[in-house]
Amino acid sequence: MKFYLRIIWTNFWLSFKEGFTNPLSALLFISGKLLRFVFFLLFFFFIFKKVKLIAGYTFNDLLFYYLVFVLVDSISQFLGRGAYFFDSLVINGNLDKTFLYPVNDIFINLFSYLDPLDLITIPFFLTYFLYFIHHSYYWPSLSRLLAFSLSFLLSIAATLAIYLLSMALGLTTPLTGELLWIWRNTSKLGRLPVNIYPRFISYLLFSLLPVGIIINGPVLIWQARIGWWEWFLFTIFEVSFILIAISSWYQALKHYQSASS
Amino acid sequence: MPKDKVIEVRHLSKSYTSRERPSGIKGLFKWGKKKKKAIFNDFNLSLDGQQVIGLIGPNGAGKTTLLKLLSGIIYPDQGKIKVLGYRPQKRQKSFLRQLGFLMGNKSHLWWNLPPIDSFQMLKVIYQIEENAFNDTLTKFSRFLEVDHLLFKPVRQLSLGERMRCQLIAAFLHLPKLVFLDEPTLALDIISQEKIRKFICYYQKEYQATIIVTSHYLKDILTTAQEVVILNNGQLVFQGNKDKLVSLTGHQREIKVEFFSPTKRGKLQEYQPYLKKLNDSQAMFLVPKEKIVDLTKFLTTHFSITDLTIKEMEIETVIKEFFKREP
Amino acid sequence: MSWKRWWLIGYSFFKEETAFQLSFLVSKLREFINLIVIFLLWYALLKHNFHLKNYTNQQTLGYFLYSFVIGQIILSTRLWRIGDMIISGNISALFLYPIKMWQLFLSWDIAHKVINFTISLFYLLPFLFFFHLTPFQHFTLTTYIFFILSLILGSLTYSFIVLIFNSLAFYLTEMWSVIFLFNIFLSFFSGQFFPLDAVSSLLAFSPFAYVNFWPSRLLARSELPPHSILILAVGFFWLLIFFLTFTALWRTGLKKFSGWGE
Repeated sequence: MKFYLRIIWTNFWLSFKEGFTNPLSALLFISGKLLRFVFFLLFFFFIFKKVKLIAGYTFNDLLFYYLVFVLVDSISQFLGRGAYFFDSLVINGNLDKTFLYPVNDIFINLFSYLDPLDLITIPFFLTYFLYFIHHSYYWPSLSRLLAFSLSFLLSIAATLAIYLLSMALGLTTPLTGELLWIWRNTSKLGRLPVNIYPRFISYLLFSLLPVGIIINGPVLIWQARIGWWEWFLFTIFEVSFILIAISSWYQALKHYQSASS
Repeated sequence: MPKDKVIEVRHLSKSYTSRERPSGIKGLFKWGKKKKKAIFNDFNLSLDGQQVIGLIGPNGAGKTTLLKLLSGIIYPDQGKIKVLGYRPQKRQKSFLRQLGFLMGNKSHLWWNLPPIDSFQMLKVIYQIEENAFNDTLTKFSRFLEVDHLLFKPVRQLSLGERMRCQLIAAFLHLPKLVFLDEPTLALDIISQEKIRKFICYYQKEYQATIIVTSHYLKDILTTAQEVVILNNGQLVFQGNKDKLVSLTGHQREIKVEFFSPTKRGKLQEYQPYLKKLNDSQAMFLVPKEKIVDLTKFLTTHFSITDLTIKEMEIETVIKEFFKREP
Repeated sequence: MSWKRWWLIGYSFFKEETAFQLSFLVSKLREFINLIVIFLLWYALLKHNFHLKNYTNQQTLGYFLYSFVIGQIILSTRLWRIGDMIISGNISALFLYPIKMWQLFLSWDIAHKVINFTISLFYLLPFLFFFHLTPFQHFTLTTYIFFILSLILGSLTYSFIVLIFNSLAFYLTEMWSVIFLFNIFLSFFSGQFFPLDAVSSLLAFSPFAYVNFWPSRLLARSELPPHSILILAVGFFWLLIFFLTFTALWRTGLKKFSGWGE
């Protein structure tokens, strides 16, 4: 564990040094990310200026969904940013070297780049999230809070498992980038509770495309919209999903052809 | 010197699959047929340790594929591979810690940062102790004359300087077994020379086993004790370097361009050495001691527009080798 | 330039785009999912009693659908390559081509737009069918003319905006951060998030409105906006400003560029 933390730290430090060679561009990227967040908030205000409830949800209810989405999305992106570079590693053959290091290959490929800019945006989102709960929302019971926390961590892990699955498919054809974007676009459906969509779609999002489970899951347990039994099923689903992703990666490795020299 | 088998390959088969589909609109809707290209078929190899081994062969002979199989990067279709007593595809940490691999055109270094930062990362990855790290880095960077470049961003280094830094990256954890795939490709002569010297130095100092592939015969002749020749995934020669040298190593290639087309008859005197003649261009393979005579002969009897003397190319060596040892 | 040459450039471009067959198909799937995500969001909001000012529900749904297809035409451009070419120095190779550089880019862009538009029609049809949407329903000759003019205006405006950003490569070592920020602005102010005139009519006169909003609005509401001549005039005014900015940046940049050593 200590060994892996040291690698993460060194990696982070180097990414930091590399990322801040151009402070102006770092500033612009951060502003862009915050602006995107603010724009969507404005959109929320715009909608709730005209209506009081959307499908029975208050403004605060929906904002809570959105904030959880933002956190899961940005934290998993922060951790798994290496996946975005995976296609170019496969094409130029530099992926080979990652298999030579005496370090777990999933670890080194997924966490190969940690964007220091995220360390500014994520604390911002997190602070806003806590502020929002404290001032405008409510704290649930301790058991629900614990279940939420576990569910939240599992959501991040399951999102990383999707990244890993994309990388496994990307070992043979450079598809990882596209697949990641498909997931990120689909997961946007989870900015709002997925049951506001037509019933067929909402079924789909609780099964084949598990946005409802991965993105909405933690919120559902917080707002007590699901019981313990459903929460348990969600947890089992996410854990199995993560295990499937890991085993797919190792299966795919056997078919990896490595770019020719 | 005690020697043990470092590499054992038994009945290895490996093939690559690709799909061929028509381009354009038609291709968009067709998956194309799977095409299999066999690289190795029932291939066997066994190598002794603690020496430099030259692995040569024409393009597409399977050299790089073999190194990737031996290091566990790719999986064999069939057969058994044992390297340092391990199955490489299991990627055990204890195995990977003893292995170094330099891939000519691939980089272990962060492009925008100085090499020292990448070395620090490797220090963490290979769990090298601080003192050992400092000692090794000082020793190697001085030997390769890059000690003054360690704090300069990699993108600002010349190709030769970068390659020498890469070499340090591959050797920093003092591996017992090192694969060097084309370490001198496209480098200037000075860098080539430094890299060759370093290979010999490291092997002696650390009793390591180093396998080198190269397009330059000189790399192999100056560093290796044993030579392995691959052709079309077949092992065509394995043995002491001297045998290869005695067959081919003392010869040079002389290429001449005549002012006007020349006939074979006019070159009768040097007929046995003439390998190619088309119109106004000719190629000779001559022993070193004949170089002066031949150039004299050519310059006095013909009007010449160009003349080059160089070492034999690996492809020529292999061709010659086949002629003599069918 | 003969037609055959144009055709060859376009076709070779198509071959290049589809070289990685699976990636190409998956990227199209990604676009389709994008459309579904936007559409579902609005469908859900409308179903739950939220309505946009000036738009019927049918028109709102249509607006987002058309806005997507218009985006496939106007926002499809290969001009983004120029910046990277400048930074890497590869742009000098283009100066040596036997055809003019801008002609080459124009043919690439037209090919790009045609391919993306054709494919987006496949996305569009199921939506038109299921939601009974009928574009061009009450179009008259003037509406058609306004529509085509706004489309050309949008394409040119966007192309020059992109060119301005790419010319920055002459002056900056890294321009992707600027572009990232700009794209977020653009998605908001060009009307991809919501029809601009449902929020503020002032927004509808910003230069970005021409990149998406006006042609989409026309298709959605099937009627000419009031003061349509003024709208076009303002659009051409913005275009002129962008054009002049670009030429100034490009000329100065090029002089700077020729001074760089290898």
